[in-house]
Amino acid sequence: MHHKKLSVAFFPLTTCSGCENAILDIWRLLSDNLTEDIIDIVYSPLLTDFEEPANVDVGIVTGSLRLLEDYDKLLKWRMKSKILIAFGSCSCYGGLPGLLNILNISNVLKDVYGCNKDLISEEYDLPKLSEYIRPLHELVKIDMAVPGCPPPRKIILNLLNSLTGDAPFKLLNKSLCMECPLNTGENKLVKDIKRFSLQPVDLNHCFLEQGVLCLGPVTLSGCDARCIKSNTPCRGCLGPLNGIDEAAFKFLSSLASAASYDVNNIEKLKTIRDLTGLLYRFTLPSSKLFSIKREVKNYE
Amino acid sequence: MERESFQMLEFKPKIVGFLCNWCGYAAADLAGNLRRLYKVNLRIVRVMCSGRVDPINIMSAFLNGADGVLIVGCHPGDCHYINGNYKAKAKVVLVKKLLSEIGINPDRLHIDWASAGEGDRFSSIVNNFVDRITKMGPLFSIGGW
Repeated sequence: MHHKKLSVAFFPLTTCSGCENAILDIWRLLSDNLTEDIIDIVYSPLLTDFEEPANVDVGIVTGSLRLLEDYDKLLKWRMKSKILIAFGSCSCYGGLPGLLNILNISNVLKDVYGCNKDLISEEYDLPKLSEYIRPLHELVKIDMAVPGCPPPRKIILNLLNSLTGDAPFKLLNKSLCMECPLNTGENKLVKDIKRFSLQPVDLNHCFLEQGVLCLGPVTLSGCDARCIKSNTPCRGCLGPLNGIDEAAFKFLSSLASAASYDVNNIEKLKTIRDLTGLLYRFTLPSSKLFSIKREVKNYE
Repeated sequence: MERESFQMLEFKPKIVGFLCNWCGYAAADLAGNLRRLYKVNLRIVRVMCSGRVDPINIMSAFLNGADGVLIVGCHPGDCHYINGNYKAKAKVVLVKKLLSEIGINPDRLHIDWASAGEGDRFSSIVNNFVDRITKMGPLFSIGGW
């Protein structure tokens, strides 16, 4: 195989660096050929100490647009890279920090730091926060989107293979339940509503049937059910399935149908806490729910 | 001219009603036959069962400018499809939670029951709901549909 050596740069926006760590984690598994002859990491503030390059073949953006300066960075990096990859759920959908979109950002600062927004920015010269987090594809053209928090091993390997020209990068549009070891294939009835951390749960049976809300049915597969194998329900980090209109609403719809065979269960549904945080943990900024919220706010 | 501009300022709520074919829609039909008056703010969408109304239908209505959404189905236990109205009720409970979490008054969504023989009840459901939404004010629609 003769490949041109690809220059790869990691461009972090506001990020926890978990995505870079996921790549580091996988580096050992790759053959030396790939890592030395084909891929050349020219820039990554976390891994290396190089200057920012003028042009790269592949730019991998991680993190979300939380600060106002992130917008400038993103536009600059788009111009520098031939292929721009949104890496991780933060760049693809808005991610965990995007949950703040349902709150007023100045109230959040008041709650966290005990003073208001202007005070913080003026006195200490800190970077200004954007009012909302938006997914990257609303601002610039994204060539590939690699979801996951962090992206699972198999998907990163797929991505690297596609970059070196072997196969096109494609996510399998199948629900997580298809690869879940707890899925028996029978119809599910939601018999109770439980909170995962507070009530005992049988780890060898489907979480949904026990009433622990697991987003498996509407989430993309590809992670080999890593959370479920570690005894935790799916939180939907790989994002919604393609081709259905707003996966979270579909989940609500199916939850309602699976729970309402018994009238008393309808009252139990009222005890679910933080429904937005549950359904949109990683995807709120790119959701319809947020567009309603934004419209309401614009009107006010 | 002045009279016209005054009328433009008056808030006329837009309400989407999902009525089930067997009870809600029949009740609306009967209300018409009985010459019962109900307010014209309601835009009726006929569905085969109230359980068919998906949360996405409700949210799309709000997103496209509805100020309120009304779902009318058969009385509990009377559903033509055994338990469709319970499913509708469960969905409404969940969607109301979502609405209140993003800062929209959950009372903008209402589910009620009216059998095919209750034209009077249907017209009072609609009138009460329209009055309630009028008091709440617009969600974000200003222009006409």
